[in-house]
Amino acid sequence: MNPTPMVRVNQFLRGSVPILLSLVLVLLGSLPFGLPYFSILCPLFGVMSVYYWSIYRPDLMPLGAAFLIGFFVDVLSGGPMGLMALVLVLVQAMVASQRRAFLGKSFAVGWWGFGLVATGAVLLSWLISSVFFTQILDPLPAIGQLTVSIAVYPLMLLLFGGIQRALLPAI
Amino acid sequence: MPAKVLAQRFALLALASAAVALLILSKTHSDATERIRTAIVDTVATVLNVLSQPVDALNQAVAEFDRFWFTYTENERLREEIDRLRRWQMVARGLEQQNAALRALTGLRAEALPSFISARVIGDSGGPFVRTMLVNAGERSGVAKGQAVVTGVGLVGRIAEVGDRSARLLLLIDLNSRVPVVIESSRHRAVLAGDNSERPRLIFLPPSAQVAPGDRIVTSGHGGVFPAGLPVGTVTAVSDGDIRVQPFVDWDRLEYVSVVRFDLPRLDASDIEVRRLP
Repeated sequence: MNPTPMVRVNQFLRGSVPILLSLVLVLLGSLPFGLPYFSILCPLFGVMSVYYWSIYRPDLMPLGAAFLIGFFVDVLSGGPMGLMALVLVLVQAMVASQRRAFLGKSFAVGWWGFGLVATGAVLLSWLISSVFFTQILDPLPAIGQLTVSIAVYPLMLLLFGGIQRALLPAI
Repeated sequence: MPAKVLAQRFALLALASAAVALLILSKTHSDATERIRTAIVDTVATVLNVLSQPVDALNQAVAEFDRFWFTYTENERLREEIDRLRRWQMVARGLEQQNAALRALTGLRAEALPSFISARVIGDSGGPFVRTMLVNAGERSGVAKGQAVVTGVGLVGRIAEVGDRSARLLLLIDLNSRVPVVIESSRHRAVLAGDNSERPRLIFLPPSAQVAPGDRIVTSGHGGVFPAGLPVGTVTAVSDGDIRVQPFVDWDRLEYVSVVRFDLPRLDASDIEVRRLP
């Protein structure tokens, strides 16, 4: 039996939650919170989102979505355009192809995996930025941002997991 | 190879190439990517404008509590400051009159007075490799590229991108920031070069120049982009060739800024008339 139009709309809306949530997180991360070093150390919400959904629901976080989220980060940050778009597309491709290694594994494995992926993402963005600005950039802020991201990831895992259980089993 | 895997590979190749093309484009034709960016930021700015208001309110509440807690010490400090400023006021009044008299004597052209556009900081995004902020005033309010941005205490940076209702401001600590400055007391010219650290470097200072920690740095007005005399910061460290400046602005407490509209005094007909006189 084909689903009715209302069911389709409902499914579409639920299905777009991972992408919309990522965009909202990126937007919230660029608010002026007035905290010391916040803009430098703001967690890598884009990398977290793309990593999580590429493992659990790659159908809801396709390559195009990763590109879109990265592009949005680039637009807001004022940095090189295309930088995070490239990084997140590569993160999605890598994680989605290796997702069997993480599916159904313990929390620690997922966290460890995120640490590896985020380190790769930060390293790549540092390399590209250094080439873009034609000088070796100080990696310390990026290392700080990476550390904060890894520390915050378990919290985001709770959020993503909750959303996945509440909204997505139906589709 | 199944068709689905093939399609995946193709999508990866296409999107990665698109991102690389975008990177190259933003290096070689930054005006094109800038237009795309400002158009999107303008749209997002309306959302940021709303979302940043509760954040501002929260920050203000924290600051209020802070003020309440330190009322006594603050009061003592302010009393001392008022005494000091009263003495300064007397000096300034004297100098003002002397200045007016000397100007009248020499017929010095009055410099154009800058006007200010107030804007609220609605975005503090940047990331580890860029230091920028978004403000909620754009072309509509008269903001233009290159204008200086200040707060009550000193220079913040300059406008780097302008949209219709929003603008991106490049902080003076950013890697790409270069501000022509002078050392206030000795009048030696230099350039303040950001390097993404909290303390930008003073470069192109003449070798003979004497500089010591505590010296005040102000904009020189050279290059015609910024008005002269905006306070920038104080020299904190001098060690062979590496001179660091601590800006006056507290980056974590920027809520409102003023964009300086400044038109350089240009030659006009009356100047030419004067020159024609024998």
